[in-house]
Amino acid sequence: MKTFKLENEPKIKTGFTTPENYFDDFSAKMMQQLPKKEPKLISLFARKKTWMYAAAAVVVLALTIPVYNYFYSNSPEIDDVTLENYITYHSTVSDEDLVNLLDEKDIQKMSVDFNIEDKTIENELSTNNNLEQYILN
Amino acid sequence: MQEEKEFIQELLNPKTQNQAFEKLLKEYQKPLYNHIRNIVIDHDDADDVLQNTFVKVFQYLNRFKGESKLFSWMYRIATNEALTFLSQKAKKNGVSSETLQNKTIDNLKADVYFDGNEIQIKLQKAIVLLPEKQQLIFKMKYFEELKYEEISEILGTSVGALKASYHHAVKKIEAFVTTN
Repeated sequence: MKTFKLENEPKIKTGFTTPENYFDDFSAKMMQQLPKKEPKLISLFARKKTWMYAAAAVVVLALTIPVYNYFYSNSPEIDDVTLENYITYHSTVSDEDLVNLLDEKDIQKMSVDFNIEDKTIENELSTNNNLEQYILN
Repeated sequence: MQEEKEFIQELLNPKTQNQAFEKLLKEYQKPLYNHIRNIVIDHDDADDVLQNTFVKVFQYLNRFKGESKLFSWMYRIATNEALTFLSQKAKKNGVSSETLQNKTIDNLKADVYFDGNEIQIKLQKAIVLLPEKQQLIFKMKYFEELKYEEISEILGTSVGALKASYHHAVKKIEAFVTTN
């Protein structure tokens, strides 16, 4: 077999070809594709659009405020009695839960209410006509 | 070099930019196309990569520091773009770069933009077997007929190392063509 030597051979070309007018077309295509670096012109219309958006935002806001006020002023305020009744009759909180929630301070606060002097009790008992009734009950 | 600096200024100046870029395209599109085509083989792929290359050149021109020649800077961008393109294409097809290249060479006969004979196809098959760097060096020296100094500036490899690589590449190619 004959040894192949590159330098002894006539120059071997790649054999790659291109479509007709490829390079002319490529130049034209490339020139169009280049990112334009010219300063951007902002048309009057575009500015008007911004103003329109701003105006729309103001109108929406203006309409929202009365609606907001309407809903919040009409929300019924719950009075203490209703709240107490609710807790007493509908709540799933048991007495034990309540006890657990109270700390030493709370208990001391409550005990103050019952700190009545003996004399006051005596007085109360002596002036109270229904005393017998209480005892009987 | 002074002339090149002025040309770069023209490319950066919005007033002269279009004209300068047209000149750049006229001068470099053919050699850069050939360089890219030799790497990616397929014409449509080369067209894509060439477009990306010029877009990048345009984008990064203001960062071009003039340390190397515009010519080698553009070749460097083209080489990187072409190699990245190949590895991305291989990844997309779920094959290795070598497999992809072999497949492309096998399809050459059917390629409408290839007009070559058996020896040309055999040479391409021999090149694909070389390591990537040797492939590049061989193609740039043998097909594109670039000078060692130019290749050195583009690839950042010393002239001595390039000569050695080219010599190895030629030996391997000759061995392949002789036995196949």
